[in-house]
Amino acid sequence: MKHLLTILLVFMIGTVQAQNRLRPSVDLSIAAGSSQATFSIAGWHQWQLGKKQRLSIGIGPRITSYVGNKKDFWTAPASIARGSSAPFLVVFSSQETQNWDTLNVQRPLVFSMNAAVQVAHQIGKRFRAGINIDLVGFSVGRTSGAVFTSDGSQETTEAKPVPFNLLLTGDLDQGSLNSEFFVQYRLNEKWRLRAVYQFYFVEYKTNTSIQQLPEPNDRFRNKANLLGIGLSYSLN
Amino acid sequence: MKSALLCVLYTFLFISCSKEKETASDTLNDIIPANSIELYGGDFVSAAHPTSGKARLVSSQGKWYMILENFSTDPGPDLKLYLANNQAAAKFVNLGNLKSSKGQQVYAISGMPDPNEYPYVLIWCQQFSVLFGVARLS
Repeated sequence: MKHLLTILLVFMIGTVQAQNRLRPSVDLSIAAGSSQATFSIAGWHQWQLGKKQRLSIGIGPRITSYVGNKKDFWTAPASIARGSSAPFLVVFSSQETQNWDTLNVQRPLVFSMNAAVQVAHQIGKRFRAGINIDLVGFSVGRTSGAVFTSDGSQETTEAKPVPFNLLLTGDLDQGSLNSEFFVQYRLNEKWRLRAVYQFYFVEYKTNTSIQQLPEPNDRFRNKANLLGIGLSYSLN
Repeated sequence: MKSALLCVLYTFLFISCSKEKETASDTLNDIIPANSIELYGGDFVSAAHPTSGKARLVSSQGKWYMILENFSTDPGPDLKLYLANNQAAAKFVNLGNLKSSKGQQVYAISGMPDPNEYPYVLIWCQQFSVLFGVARLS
């Protein structure tokens, strides 16, 4: 998988470098949902493509800080949580909810640093819309008290963020990965206002395999749906 | 524009710094269920915070109740009343939010956990995993 991502990135950079016009920018976003919020900053190397140069593809680093209060995290590994753990098919496979246990993390706080890709399209003179997603990186964060619930029985435990992040599609993903759908409105030559919908996978693990059935597991995931605003600053 | 950004920033800071609501400190005087029979009891001892009073597990008309008598502890955030297997709440049954830090309190117990398996009554701050006080049922 690592080789595939490397080949994809090299291919993408090679392709876009053959085109013209590099458009670097920095994006800031603040997003909030039910008892949880994120603040993210991303730097994009973007290449404008096509005859009218409306389409752009970008890569760059993104740091996302996530904070929540008493959030439920559910059994993460696709081998337990879903009907299939085959890449891509996992997205469409059944949710095996009878295998899901809950970890209520009392004070989750995660900083994820990931390489990300972005695709965007200019709409008219002022609007631009696009999507982006984290690919690979690492996370640090706060160890927190947590309440594990399985089949009605409850246990007190501790949990910490999963340190390594990797996009593998759906519930095969590891760690904490951000993705956004965004619309930008051009304020002037340099600044754009952003409206974002964020879908943030955030993962915590317990010190031991606290879930025992149907197989031992220590990884739990929260899929955060967030709405927010932000700014984008053009560096050229 | 500036005020909208500040509003979202304040939301973020509020969530990141917020504590659960602090337990009330009014002195309660719940009515003890009629014809209750004490099955187990124990005195509270202090842990991280001064705690005193008595915990009584009673049955009345086929229902089970936990009664805290002459109870007192410090107010705190997110305080719960647990029946637990040890003082670290490794395994527990949550009887609910602590109603108040003072006075006589009655908690209904749905389904009867085995007191031999869960012999400790804990005053537990769930958000920060802090034991305020404990009573051992015997």
